[in-house]
Amino acid sequence: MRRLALAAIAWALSAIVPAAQSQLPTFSSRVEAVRVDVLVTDGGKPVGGLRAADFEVFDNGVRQTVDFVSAEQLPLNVVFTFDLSGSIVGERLANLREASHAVLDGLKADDQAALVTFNSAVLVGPGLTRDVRLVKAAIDRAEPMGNTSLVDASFAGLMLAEADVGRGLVIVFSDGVDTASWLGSKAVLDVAKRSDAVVYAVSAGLNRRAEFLGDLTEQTGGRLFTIESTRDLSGVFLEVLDEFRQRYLLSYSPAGVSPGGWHPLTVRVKGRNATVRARPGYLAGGPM
Amino acid sequence: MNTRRLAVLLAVVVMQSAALAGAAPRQTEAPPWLMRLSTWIELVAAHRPGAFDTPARLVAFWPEAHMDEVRTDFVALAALYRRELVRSARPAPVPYRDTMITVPELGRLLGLAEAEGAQERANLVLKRAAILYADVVMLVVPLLPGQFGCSAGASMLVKDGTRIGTGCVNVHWPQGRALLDAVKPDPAKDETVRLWYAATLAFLLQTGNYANARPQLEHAQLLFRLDPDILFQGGYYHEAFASPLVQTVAVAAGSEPGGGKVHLENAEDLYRRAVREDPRFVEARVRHGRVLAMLGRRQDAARELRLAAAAAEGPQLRYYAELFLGQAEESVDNLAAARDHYLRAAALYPQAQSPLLALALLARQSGDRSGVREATATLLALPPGRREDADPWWVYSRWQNERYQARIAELHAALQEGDAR
Repeated sequence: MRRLALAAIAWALSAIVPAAQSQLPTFSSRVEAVRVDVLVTDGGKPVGGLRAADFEVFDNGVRQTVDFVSAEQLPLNVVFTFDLSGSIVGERLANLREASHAVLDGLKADDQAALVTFNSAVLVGPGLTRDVRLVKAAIDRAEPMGNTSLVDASFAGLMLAEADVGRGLVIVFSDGVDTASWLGSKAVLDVAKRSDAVVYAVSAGLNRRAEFLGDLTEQTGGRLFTIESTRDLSGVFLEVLDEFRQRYLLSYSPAGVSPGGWHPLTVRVKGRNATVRARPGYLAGGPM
Repeated sequence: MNTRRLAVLLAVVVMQSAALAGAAPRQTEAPPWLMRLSTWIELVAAHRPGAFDTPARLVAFWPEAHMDEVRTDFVALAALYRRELVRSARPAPVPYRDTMITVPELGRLLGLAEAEGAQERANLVLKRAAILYADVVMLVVPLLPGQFGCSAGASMLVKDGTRIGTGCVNVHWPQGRALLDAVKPDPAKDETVRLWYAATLAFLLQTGNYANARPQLEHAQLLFRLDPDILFQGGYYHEAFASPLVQTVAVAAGSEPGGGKVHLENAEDLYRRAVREDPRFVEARVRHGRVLAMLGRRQDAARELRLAAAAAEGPQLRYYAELFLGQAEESVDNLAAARDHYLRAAALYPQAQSPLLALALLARQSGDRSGVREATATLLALPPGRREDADPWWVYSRWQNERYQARIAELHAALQEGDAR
């Protein structure tokens, strides 16, 4: 969804949610604004210091007025969505644990994290929490087995990422393709098109077909990393976190466009030959 | 021909048979083929169907050529015996391979001493042997090291959509089929033969052993073209082959140029015919409905699944019917009906995640925030470490509603009946 949380109200509300309840979805009050999470790079390096006036946003070809830019004001909701099917064992599992610990160590006090693991089953635990020790312990306890419900788990990850105020970052790690999900990939991609969360994915292994992850990351403006070995998985995960922190959160109130349907988006930076990564559009008309 | 009298040899063979369980072979005058045939007949008679017993363990080590040989000899000698009995009241010795055989001796060797019912007894030996071979594959071969019991052909061993090695194409399945093909007058009209195929196919398919299931299925379809069980197993095979678990590897290996759609179309055809032959075959109807939905025939799918849901018995079959019907109703925009069916599925298996995911997605798509909250909260509250049967969807590709257990029990009962005659 592209509607901006009314940050002040939601922030105040989130502050009084007891920790034990914080894993449940708490849909915040929202205004009719569209939120676009963008990464600006020049020569491969993130560009910082930009303001609202530096951006041009076209919604369905119609220029919009960007009225809000935020980089690091909002805390992060980092949802690890990890494949723990039977093939994630030994060094691969150790590298995954190490990499997720590295990201957790890099979170700020107000950031939250959650863990979704999947084989045939999608297991959530803990839900969004500021206590990263809980997440670390859950990651260390998780045991691989069974098939791969990648699509189901991605949906659960998106649900969790937008369950509380903040910028949702879903980090998906998988070494396979979906073999066991109930939900269809198209339906979940439709959810992704309506979601404010950004999905980064790491697909490990040789000659893997990662079509779903490619589509999911593209539709949310994230990025797919395809790696052969997990030896430097920590480096990849930290790159994801670093890149996400350097993204801009733009918002605008749509003007001159129809309220429903698919809205293609174009985002540019004025006066620079910069590369902008953002979701290609959003589905409007949905209620959330 | 260098002929010998069978009477002398038989005595030696009987002594040899008594030493089945491991005594060193003695030096005898009996030709090897006769030794093998006699031993084989003893083993077949001694095997208790479904048991991991000495005959099964011994036969597991027989080379394919020896199994070919004893089958050929048994079938030929049984035919010879019947022919000679019909031809003459006092038949003279007849030559077979390097031996002269009198008909009474032949009858004793083959266990067909009674002239009356000789054909039925010969059939019983063939069926018992086919069951022995099936038990060897199912009970003994998995415990053997290396490639014992495997043919030169290779199959792909697949785990979670990934090729992890080379599997075994067992020699005992084609041997079993060849034995049953020799049942007279017509194996296609024999209930025990039909049960053998129904039971072994259920076993092969619910264990995901598609390489061995395929020729078994093709042979069964030739014999039992309109049998609902066999039609169902054919549909099941193609439905499984259309799944991502198999397609991922098959496409990568270039062995599936037609892709999953061709398998879905085959599955639809076979399930439809199974239901047509037996309209009370609810499991076939459930799977037929799912396949119709996957082919995009949404209205047909919803219609078939409504019938299935109304008739389904047992929690697991009802769960599948409700879950698939929810999906079918959702696809034709009957969202309230879809929600009801997902809720019913969730009520049947409270720890199943699939209906909860479906409810959360449905609520999100319909703008029902409290519905999303409720479904997601229930999902989050599911206990970790759930058993594999917590959500029947996880075992859908390996579930056959206890068909194997039922058919194997019927098969053993049919055999016991034959033994008692």
